[in-house]
Amino acid sequence: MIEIKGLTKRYGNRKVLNGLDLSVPAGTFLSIFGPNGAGKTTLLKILATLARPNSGTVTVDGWDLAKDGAEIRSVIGVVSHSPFVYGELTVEENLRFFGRLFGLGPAGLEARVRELLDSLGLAHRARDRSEILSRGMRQRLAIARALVHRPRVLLLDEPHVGLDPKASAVLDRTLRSFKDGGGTVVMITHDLAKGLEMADRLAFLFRGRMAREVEAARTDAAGLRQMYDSLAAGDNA
Amino acid sequence: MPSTALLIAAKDLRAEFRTKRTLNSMLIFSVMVILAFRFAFTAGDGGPAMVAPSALWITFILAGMFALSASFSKEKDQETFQSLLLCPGSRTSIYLGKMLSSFILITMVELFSIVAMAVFFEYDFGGPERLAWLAVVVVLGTLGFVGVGTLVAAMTMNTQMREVMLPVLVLPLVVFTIIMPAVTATAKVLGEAGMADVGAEVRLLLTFALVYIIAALLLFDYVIEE
Repeated sequence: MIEIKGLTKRYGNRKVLNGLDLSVPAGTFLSIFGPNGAGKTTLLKILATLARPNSGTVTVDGWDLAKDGAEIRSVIGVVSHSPFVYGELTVEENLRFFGRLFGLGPAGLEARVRELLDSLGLAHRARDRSEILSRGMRQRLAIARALVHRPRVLLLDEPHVGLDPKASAVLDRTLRSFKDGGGTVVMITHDLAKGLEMADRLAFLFRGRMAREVEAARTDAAGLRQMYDSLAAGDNA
Repeated sequence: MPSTALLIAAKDLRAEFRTKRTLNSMLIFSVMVILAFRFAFTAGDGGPAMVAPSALWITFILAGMFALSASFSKEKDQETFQSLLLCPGSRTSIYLGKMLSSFILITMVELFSIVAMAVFFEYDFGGPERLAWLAVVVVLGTLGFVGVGTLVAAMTMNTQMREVMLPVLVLPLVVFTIIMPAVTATAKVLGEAGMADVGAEVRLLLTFALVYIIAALLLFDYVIEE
């Protein structure tokens, strides 16, 4: 589903990604951990076609990032800690706007909007402007926005930041349902427990390279913490 | 591409008409500029006929800066620009959508300013033919201004002091190519000179509008690249 080979990204003289290789098969939930400045967000931005790599190859769902940006954008959904929605528009207007940008027709769009509003518990706030929503509600709307066009890949950058337990549970339920439907998820997080709980593969990004990849089933919370700490200790040495 | 641009323009206008933050600022600002000109010049200075074309275009351009600046700064402040970049349509459609919404907002304020000018200056803009030529000059001048202004607004979106940077960069680009021919053409249309004389200015405005829009379409992808 996602194949990355020799990915390099520089900002000025600073190499943020340094020959990174990564393979994420379809239907996988991958959690990526790493310290600040390791290149996690840059990696996600490249996968989302928001930044261009200096070298290396990236394919998403068979599309080449270098020349098929529009096709890649049509199969991915992105959720960040920022909701990326318009405060002046209502919840349903936001979803309709993004759905139409992704080419959904009127009939299919209305059904999809209703489905997302119901499944994410937003139906009773559908006609409220998104600027008056709570942080948790706005994040639910952000998830709905990312899912409105039925993407096959979800890219998540710290999606649980600032969410209360209820909103976090809604997000987890939605992500599990997406994965159960065959979707692929790449989630960046600093929350080791959450990353382990959700994922079936774990990757550690340090200094722009994948330092280690493991199956989530092969470790537990204590093992994961030990793994992370030993990689961080090596990184600081 | 056109449907994506229309969707973005419709979204911008819907959001703007709901809050009217930019529109109200533009309208109040344009009244203030027109009143300033009204009180600064008297009949002894040559009267309204002398200052009307300059006053109109200074009002259009300065009020227009509000629309251009708000067009991208709202996206930046709400961090929604990335959501537009994440959509599969061509990125130049973002430029076209932003340009269209700014053009509509500015044209509305221009209409209001012309009426305000007629009221405060007790100015007679003449018959339909004169108004039609004035409309041609205003539309072409606005098109060129918005064409280059939208590109520069995208460029300055991520800069510090973007509200200052936008006029600093746009005004030198439009002074000789848009403002001067537009003021000259407006003076001819409103004055005693025959309207047949306005052809050269209209051609100049049309040429620069096309040059700016084509250049912006070619450059927009690079301007928004991280």
